Amino acid sequence: MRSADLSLLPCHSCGLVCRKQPHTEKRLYCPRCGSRLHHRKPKSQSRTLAYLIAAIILYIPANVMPIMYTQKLSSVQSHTILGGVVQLWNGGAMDLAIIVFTASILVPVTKLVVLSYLLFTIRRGSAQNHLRNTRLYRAVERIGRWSMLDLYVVTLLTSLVSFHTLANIRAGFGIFAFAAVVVLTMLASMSFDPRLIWDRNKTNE
Amino acid sequence: MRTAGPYLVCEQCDTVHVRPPIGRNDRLRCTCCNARLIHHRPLGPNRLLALAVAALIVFVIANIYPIMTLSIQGHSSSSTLWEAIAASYAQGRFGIAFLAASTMFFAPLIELLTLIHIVLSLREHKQPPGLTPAMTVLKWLRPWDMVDVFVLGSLITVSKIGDLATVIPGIGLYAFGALTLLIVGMKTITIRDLWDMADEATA
Repeated sequence: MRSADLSLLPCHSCGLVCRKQPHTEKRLYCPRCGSRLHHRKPKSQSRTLAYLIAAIILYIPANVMPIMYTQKLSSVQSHTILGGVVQLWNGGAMDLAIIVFTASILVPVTKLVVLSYLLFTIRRGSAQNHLRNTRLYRAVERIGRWSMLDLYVVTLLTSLVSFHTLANIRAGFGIFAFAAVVVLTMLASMSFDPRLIWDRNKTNE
Repeated sequence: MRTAGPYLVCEQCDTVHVRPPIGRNDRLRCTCCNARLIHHRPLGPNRLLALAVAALIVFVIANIYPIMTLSIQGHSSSSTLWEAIAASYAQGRFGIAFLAASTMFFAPLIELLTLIHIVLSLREHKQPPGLTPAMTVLKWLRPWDMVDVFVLGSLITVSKIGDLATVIPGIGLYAFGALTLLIVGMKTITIRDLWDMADEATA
């Protein structure tokens, strides 16, 4: 049984289950926390899509543009996200390379792919793999924040390595674009309503 | 509109369950999609208050002391969280400074203060003033405090520049590590649990 079958309306905010009475005014509010009650998160699909598109567009400068510039004496080097991983790997720090690769490349790409895939299956009205898709959503929702890792590494490095003429590290635009991608994908997964995955499933009891 | 007491509705697939009695260490999952439904709350208002106050003290320590100290050829530099944020700001990276300040300073601080405010009243079985806005603040801030991610980032920074220079992790880093554990403990109580606690406390 699903909530609409019993004319129940669970509050998105505090979880209180309210009963919908027929022929009442259109706007309903939770008696406990005062939030607007909705059957589904409002405009979930278009909001998620908008955040996703913005994130995909920003993902390009995030990877192409340098996330930081290191300066030793008078030579300046620029570093991209992928370049940083390669450098760690070649420098023998394979464990670090794997952590940074996971947080900065694997997680955001997985998140963009999975959310696009979920939106696509909902649009198409797929009636299969609901459980798997819900699990995918949960995984993506949980791991997303760890991509912020690079932002903190760069922030700390720019602050620590500032020995005027000797050595310097400056942040590049790439890291800001990347952080914006992470924020946008977090917003996308928050506005996505996993219940939409189940809505086409007529046989579900 | 009335509330329908005996029901629980899964947040992720909308399946309706009849609320069973919850025993110690019980964790109920949705029979349809296996999402977490409800659990036995491991912390009451008193323990939650203790955790939050401890976290606040650790938070102050973490912000005062340097996160790490770096030395190359006789020059050394150390940085606290705010010095790192100010350095980004001084370089004209306002976006980075804003994100770092909000996820590492403002989100956890406001979250801790709001939680303490709510729990202080709940343990005296009173309705906290401004409960609804306070809960809304908590709900919106929770996903954005990233102390745990920051600690991992600091550790990576320590090992990344470890072979170029001498790096000494500071008290700030240890304090942020401790803060991570305290925040994880506090987050075992979800916003919905807090609403249920508020109901029980004032009933």
